[in-house]
Amino acid sequence: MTAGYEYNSIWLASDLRHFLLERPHLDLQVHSVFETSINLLADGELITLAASRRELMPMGCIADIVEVEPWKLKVGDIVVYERGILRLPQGDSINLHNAEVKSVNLAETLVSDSHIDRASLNLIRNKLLGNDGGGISDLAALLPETDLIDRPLNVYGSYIKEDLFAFLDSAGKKDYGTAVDLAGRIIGFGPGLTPSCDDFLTGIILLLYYKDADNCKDANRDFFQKIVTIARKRTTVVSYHMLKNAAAGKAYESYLAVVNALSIWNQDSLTVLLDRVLRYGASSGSDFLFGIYCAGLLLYERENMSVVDSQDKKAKISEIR
Amino acid sequence: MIKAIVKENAYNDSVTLMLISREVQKLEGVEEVLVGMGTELNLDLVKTMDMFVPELEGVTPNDLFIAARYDESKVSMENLVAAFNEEMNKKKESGSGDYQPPTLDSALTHLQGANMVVISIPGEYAAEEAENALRQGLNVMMFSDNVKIEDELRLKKIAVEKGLLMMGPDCGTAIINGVPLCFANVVRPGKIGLVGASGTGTQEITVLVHQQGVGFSQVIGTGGRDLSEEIGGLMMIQGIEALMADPETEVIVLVSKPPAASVEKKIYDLVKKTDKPVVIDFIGGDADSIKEAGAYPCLSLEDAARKAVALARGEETVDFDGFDADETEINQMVEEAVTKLKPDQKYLRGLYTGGTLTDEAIKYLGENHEIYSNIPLTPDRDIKHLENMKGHICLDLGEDQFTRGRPHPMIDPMTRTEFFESDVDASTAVILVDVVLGYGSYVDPAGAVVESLEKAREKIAAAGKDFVVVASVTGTDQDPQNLNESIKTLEEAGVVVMPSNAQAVRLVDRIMKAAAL
Repeated sequence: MTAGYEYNSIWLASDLRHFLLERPHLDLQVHSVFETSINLLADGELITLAASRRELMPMGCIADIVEVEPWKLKVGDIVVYERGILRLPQGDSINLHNAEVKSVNLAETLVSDSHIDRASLNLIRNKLLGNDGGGISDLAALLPETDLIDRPLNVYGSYIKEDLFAFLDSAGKKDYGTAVDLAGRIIGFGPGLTPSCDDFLTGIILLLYYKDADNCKDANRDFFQKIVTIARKRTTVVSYHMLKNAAAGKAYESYLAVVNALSIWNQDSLTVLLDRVLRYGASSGSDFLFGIYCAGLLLYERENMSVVDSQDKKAKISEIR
Repeated sequence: MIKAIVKENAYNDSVTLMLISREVQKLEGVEEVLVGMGTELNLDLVKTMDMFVPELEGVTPNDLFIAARYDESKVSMENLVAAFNEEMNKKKESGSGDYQPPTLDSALTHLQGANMVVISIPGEYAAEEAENALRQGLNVMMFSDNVKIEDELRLKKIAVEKGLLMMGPDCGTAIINGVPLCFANVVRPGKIGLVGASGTGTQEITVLVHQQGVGFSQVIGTGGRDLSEEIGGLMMIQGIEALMADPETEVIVLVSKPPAASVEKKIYDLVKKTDKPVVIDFIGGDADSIKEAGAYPCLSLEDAARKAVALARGEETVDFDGFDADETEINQMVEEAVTKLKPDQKYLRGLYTGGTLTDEAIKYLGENHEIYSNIPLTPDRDIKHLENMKGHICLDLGEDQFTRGRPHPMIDPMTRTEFFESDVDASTAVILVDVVLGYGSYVDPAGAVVESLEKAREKIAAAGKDFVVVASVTGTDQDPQNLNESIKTLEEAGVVVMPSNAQAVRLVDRIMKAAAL
């Protein structure tokens, strides 16, 4: 192997650091290659090496490179990790020693706790309806939190709406047994490398993980774990790991920031964050926010709505189906 | 014809695939294109749409598929694949231009030579980023709020030590080298330099100067806490020194709420050192102290603009506290307004989005009327002391208490719309509003006011009533929303549009006195 260029890692996710500390030597197989990131598989984990224009993700490492093309990696290649250095097959290496270690775990980045704010939810809904995400987020128009909006759904929304709303009904009633069954009817559905419904579930899980932790910690954890188990066989490898991370409270930095911003009463910040998240993927950002919105509604209703109101809203849901 | 192609273990950026599938769908003869990963549910969708073909047998969740239904007399699958590949290549080529750096360091690598950073992230993270920028020799404009005052002091000390600007936190307005930043209007370049600790105050002065044909060298924001005892006016002083040294700047304007006493003295000491004329509007501040420093005190934001323009033109300054229109015309407007009102219409509703504009209104109107507010002149005029809304109200809807959990009303009119619904009723006589244009502001603030007004009018129409509505528009003919269009929208809805906030407030004062409100 010829000595190549040594890149530096700028940021390292704390979970990846912990994982590597326990493994002085590791062979990582290239799973997928994109313009600004590479996914590697090792010991059942998906590890992401990304360029500096990306933000940090769980089990991720950001390197001082603008695009990853110079690394010349292809699917199936082996990257060798040895004592803080990732050695690429073409001779280059990535030095992890100087990286700043950051947490991408909600439990560690949590700013404060408070109740769900209705105006924040309305802002998310307005953003979603003003954004042609292409995934399933148009379904926000049918949720009767505020005025129903009559607009055509795309093929994905039309196909999945009944199962998805049934899932929400069950989750809202804490009927997790039914909700898990229904999750099996939405996981893996929709466009994108991480299918839309998986992005949606990531939003649901993250918000419930954060906001409902004190009330139903064990029930939630069990519910999330069952979703992850289903996802293993029914969706893509990348999407499965995304859901697995969400069930452990881990996600992209900006996803976590949105969850936090819902509680720190800073709507200007929330607006900025929503715009940032909406830039993710073709539909991933909007579908994730749709999940956040729906989970927010569930929690808001639990906190604020009278039985009569809830029944009225459920009647409306039945009506629009 | 329905066909599909499968790429095993293939991953492409989903954004690229979605955009491409939309483009391919536009081809003549193409009825439907589905692109996705081969999950069970995605294949169910393909089946539901009667697009399942043998090529899709055995597809796994990690395989990419492209399924298409098309009219083969007009297009072939080969054409589709070719179009797909062509679009894919286009995206690849254009991808490099769409670079959105996620970190300060990568942004600086991408844009070599940049010397200013605008920070607009949640306040709890903003100080760290600002310090990083300052340490690298970059000027900072911090739009973020909720930054600790000790962090602000530390950052400003670093900036002073390095000879940099640290505008903010909570700095909403600046125009640096002709570039409007955050909430700012499009104004012409010129000889006037401004340092402001007040967002909409700065905007009002800049647009009024622009409307008189004069422009700005630099407009520097400081953030609202800069002139407090704790911060000591570090950025106001840094800004004044920069403008004193700037050969393009011939007149200096300072705008702020009254500074802490110790800060005020430091500013006046500095002002005494420059030969350049300095116009100071410390709204409600002591005019004699300003005169003693050799500067020009002002009666209003508009007066500050007029004095700056006169000085830039080498003319004498004159105090202005009147109207552009002649007295006969104003009297006629007052008479028409009074005639319009029924005896039980008694109250003023001032619904402002700009803090300094509200402040200016309350200080003027508060001299002659009992005005209740969330930023009252005296504690007993706090809105919480007003029972059943029976009294005159003037609100700064941009204050934290109204923006918790929602955008600033200059960005999103929702808050003011709600106050139109809750606070304006049959007992309302006069409605006073500001309409702030420019970058950062809502796309059509005038239209939003008119929409709220029409709804409010519907509620009282049956009683044969209407309101008197007075507005001013803070904007220029070159702003994205366009000043003239906004004025036209308001006037067509029967709103009296005055040339400045000060004149709008004076007119309302005259109407209230004439109608004995």
